[in-house]
Amino acid sequence: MIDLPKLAAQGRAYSGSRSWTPEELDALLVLERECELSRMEAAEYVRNGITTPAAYKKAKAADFKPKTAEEAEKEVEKALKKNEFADSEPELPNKEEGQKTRGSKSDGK
Amino acid sequence: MITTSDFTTLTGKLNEWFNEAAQLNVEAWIGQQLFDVGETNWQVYNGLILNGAAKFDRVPEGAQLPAGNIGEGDNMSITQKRHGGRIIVTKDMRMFDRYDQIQEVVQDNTEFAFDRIDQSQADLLLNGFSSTSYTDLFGYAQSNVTPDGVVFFSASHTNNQNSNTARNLIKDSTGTANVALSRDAIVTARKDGRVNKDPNSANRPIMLDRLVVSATNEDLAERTVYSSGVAGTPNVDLNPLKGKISNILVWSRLDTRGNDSTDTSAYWFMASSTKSKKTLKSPFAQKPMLYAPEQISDSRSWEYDLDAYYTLGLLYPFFVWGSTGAN
Repeated sequence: MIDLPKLAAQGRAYSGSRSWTPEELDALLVLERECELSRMEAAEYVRNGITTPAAYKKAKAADFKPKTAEEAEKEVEKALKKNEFADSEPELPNKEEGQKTRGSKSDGK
Repeated sequence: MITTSDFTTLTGKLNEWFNEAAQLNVEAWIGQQLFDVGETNWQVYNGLILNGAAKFDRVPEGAQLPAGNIGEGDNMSITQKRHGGRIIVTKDMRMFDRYDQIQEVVQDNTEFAFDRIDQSQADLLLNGFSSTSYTDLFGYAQSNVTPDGVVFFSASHTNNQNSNTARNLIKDSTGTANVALSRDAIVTARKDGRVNKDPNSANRPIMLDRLVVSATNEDLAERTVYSSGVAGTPNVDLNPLKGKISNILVWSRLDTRGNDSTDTSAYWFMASSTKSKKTLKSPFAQKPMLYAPEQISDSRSWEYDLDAYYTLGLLYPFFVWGSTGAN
């Protein structure tokens, strides 16, 4: 077993549960080299499916901000509780303060 | 008829046959020449790659020596798994004193245990070119990435210091990767190994002096390395590879991948004969052993356990290089 969470935090794995595929890793290295991005920046673009310098330039021109894995994780957690039978609100960890915060009640209710 | 009163004697014979077979099969076990198969009492084996963490600098008089930093590296852990099977001495065998059959069953099971271990080790190399895991020949998921999270044989191994990458995927002098076994590819791989740099750009030469090929490639490998002249030339030059490859390891497990029966006979590898065990890890908590049953009965089969505890993993990738031979 390898330390995937550590690698993901360094932009060297897709996430804490899986490595980059060889194609994703190639894309990451190309973005890093040709678009002069740091590894972390390049990793965010590849996680958002932006894998070529041309796609990166288009996204940049449109002022696109890649979603972070943390943001996506929060959205997934909210989405899971977005159903008519759910009797609890999503309780999401506030990573900056190390505290738990209540999710928005207006979501789907 | 072999009855319960003969149990101790029969068990002694089984152990003798097992030991004879094990000794023969250990000699034929190629994987142990490449893998670290040392014995361990750790259930979880931890490994750490040090990516150029070593320090050796000139220091002014009275100054402190610089400290190496083990944070400069990646780590991995692998857990021991039990493998084995039961050797059955049936009532018929005992009823009719079929020692010939009993001996054959013991020796065949022992041989098969070593076959499976050797094949599972070969499969780690054969599955090292794509994806991040595969289903091994026992039906379980096996990781094929090194501690940097990159597939074993790659042109782009990463490190945790900077964006430099390093390769252990064999290419030829034109830059084509996954090339067929050839003199040019061997020479290029040896050169690439020697100019290997750590993440801090210090040259850390890898001496690739061992060629590992399938049985299919045995003749080509031997002609390429051992011919007195250079293959494909009018033989004016003496073959420089002759003294540089310390040995050719012909490993028939490389001809067909054990986990999915793919023809992998074109795959070939180069390794450092002294350091490949720093890359290929297969620690054994218990080498194959035979255990007698605790309960026996004259009316039933006697079941002997043959089991081993071992695991597979990859550490520092650059002491073993590979090619699928597809190009």
